[in-house]
Amino acid sequence: MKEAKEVYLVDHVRTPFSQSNPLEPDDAVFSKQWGPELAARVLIDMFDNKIPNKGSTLKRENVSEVLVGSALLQHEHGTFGGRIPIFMANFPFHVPATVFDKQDGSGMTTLHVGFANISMGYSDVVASIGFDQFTRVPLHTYDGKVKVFGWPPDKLMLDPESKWYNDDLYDWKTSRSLFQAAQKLVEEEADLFTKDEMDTFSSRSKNLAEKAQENGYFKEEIMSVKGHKAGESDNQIEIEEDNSIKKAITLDDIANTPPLSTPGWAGGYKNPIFAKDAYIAKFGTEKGIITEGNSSPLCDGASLCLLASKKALEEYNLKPMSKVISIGFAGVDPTVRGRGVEPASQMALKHANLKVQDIDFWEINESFSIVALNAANKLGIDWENKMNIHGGAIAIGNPASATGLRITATLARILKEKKAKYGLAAMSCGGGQGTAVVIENLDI
Amino acid sequence: MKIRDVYITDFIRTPFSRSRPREPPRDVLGNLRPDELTALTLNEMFDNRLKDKVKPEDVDEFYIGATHFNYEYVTLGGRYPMFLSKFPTKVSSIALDRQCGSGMTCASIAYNNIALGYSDVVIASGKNNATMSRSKPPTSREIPPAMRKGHEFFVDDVVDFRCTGSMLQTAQKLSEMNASIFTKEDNDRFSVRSHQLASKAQEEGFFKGEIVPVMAHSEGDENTPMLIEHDTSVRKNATYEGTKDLRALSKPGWAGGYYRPLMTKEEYVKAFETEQGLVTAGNSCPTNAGAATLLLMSEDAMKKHNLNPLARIVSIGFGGVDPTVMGRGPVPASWMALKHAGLTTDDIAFWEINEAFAIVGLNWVHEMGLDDRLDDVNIKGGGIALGHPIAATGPRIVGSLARILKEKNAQYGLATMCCGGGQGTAMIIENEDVK
Repeated sequence: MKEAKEVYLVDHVRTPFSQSNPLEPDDAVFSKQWGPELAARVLIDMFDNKIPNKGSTLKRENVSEVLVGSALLQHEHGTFGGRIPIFMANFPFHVPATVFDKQDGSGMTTLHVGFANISMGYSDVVASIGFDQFTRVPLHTYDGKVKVFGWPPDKLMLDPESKWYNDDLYDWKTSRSLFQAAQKLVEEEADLFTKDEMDTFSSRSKNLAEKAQENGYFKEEIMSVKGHKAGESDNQIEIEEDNSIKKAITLDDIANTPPLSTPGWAGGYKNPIFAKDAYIAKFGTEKGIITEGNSSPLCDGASLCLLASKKALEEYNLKPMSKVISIGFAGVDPTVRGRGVEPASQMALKHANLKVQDIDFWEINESFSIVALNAANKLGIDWENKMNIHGGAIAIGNPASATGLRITATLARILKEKKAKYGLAAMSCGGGQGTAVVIENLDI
Repeated sequence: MKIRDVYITDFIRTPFSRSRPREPPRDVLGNLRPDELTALTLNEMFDNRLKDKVKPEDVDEFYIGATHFNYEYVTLGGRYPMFLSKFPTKVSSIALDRQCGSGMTCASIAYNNIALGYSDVVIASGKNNATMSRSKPPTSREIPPAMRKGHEFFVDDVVDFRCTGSMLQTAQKLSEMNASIFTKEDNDRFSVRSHQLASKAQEEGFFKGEIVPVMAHSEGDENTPMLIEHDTSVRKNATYEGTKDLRALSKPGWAGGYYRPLMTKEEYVKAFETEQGLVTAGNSCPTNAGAATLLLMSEDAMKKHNLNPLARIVSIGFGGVDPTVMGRGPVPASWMALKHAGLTTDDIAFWEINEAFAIVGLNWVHEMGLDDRLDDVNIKGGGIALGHPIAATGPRIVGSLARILKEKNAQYGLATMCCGGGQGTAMIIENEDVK
């Protein structure tokens, strides 16, 4: 029987992440850029700048396939099977492509599929890209104020008379709302975490990211992209930094942001865990717990990870950032989608033949404080010292599909920086899923 | 890590109905959402065919392929179709788009994950309902950056999006590339062959083993319920005479059908004895509604659930080609699959090439050096007759091929298809009854 081949993460580049604003597009600095354009930009920067500058001979024509991920493939995000971004980046026609939707995990899924194709020997060099542009192609959470192009099977699923009725099983209102799914998770884990702990976690993320930005840590992974000044769409400027990272945010600033979620007792999700009185007794407020302060801002951006086989490393003189050891994925109850991190991570650990204590550093996507905190608790991660040590999405921002590839590559850089061996990156996905990947720093 | 064997253990599809975007009531499945069609195949597979053997909770992953994700095609990362079938939330899912190859790519990725030990039981589905999606306005009226002259991403001079985006034009251009090899008559006769083989297979009941009847409505009347049991595009009495004079749907290069024409008007008229386009409704596949689903398993899972294999997956292939002649995609994809299988074309007993257009099949046969093997290609008819519910076609041709290998007691088969945007996908399967 054939042996699986080894897979290496060789390079990474991303655009700055810019806060999305579909209601006031002019305030979003990338509002003029289509999502597939952002995807093309990371490809161009990788092949025109990063690779040649590192002395590699790898060219566009040597790429076995380009895999693209995006959470919303509607409207102008249609990529013609992934071909549009690669045509725009001047790839030759013989390079194939595919595009994936696993919601937030779409970007990390391109890494999974690339890993599998290289392991099996079907590909040697895979460019994995994730992009999302929520300013131009927004989520469905604006109460009809923005146009959307995907129509869920509501007529079938929500009508008790329909043979497909399943709302009692999946509670679609909660399953489809970022904020409600996080609120329900907070209530389910009420014994473990207070709102104060969530806000403190956010504050940590913001402080760490601010420090990393000041120290120029992100410069190595960010390419400069032409955008415009916030509020002045005709005033073009180079965007070089993540604009969600704000200076000197205090815990008070975070704690005082207004709630975005509705508690179960007030109809926020089906079958509430707490009655109103019990809720107030538990949380000291009758309001929702999820706020702008303890959740990640949605962003516009793209991110690329380059994967290669051992043969390709030698042939094109590429130096690995990390070896990809294993992948993990899992489905969970979509009404508490944040739980996806844990089973996906456990699966990746099992396939890596590693235990939680073997992992030196973790990147757990901070879609919400509660998601990262709960995953850390369930997995038993020493999060204060080992998780998201340069900040997370709460500060850096969350262009969902680009995030999976950002955290994987940042983790590879952290392992190098800290001279540590194993790292695990994981995230939860809308619809109730999780994705994970285990990487190894080969210097150790 | 050892690479494990992967088996196809079941295959089921809906009937394929002719799409009628301009007169929706005429499409008998036109009212069924693509995810609903998919869910019908899942229900049939798990509630009937495999009942008491394998359950939805035994499934590790669900893959759904589609050519776009607008309107009713949105899946929430693959969740909607499987949740319509009330699958447990622990089953992972992914939606993907490789245009026509989406469904086959689902099977390819599922195969990888099983081979590498990450999954044991995986569903690969493809879905389409062109009546539903084509009745809608385009999703973006803005000209994309890649087509805007002067834009830094302008690539239309290379990619020729008007041709690339019209499958009819890509087939016209491919026909012109093949001017010295295939005449329009060859194309038309290939199409008639497809209808004849498909109607023979239909009469013999071959498709009964793979089609789940769907309760929908009669043609033209949405209020008259009707059980749809057969593919509606197959023409029983197709003849060359009835095919050859159908109206041209494509525009020749000399008349501006694509950039940088391959032939002048005079050369064109000399080669094809007409100044019209060559692609007609007769020699192209119709658009259809339908869904098709494959169930893939590891050897361990197959034994555990006491199932017999339909076929073993030997290898996969994929490739990119010039998108203005996307029909050439199956050629590099097939060679790649053969290379990885360590097989030659002589080892392959039966072939399934998706007949997006007659010229796609003919060109592939010729480029693969199979001109004298036509009798082993699409022996139960192809997309021209059975229809092409885009992403559902990949699972159909792989599933049909597995059934053909069983029926003919043959060992190896290769299924391949072209994809809009200039790609090809391929899969080689083995009937292990023959060794």
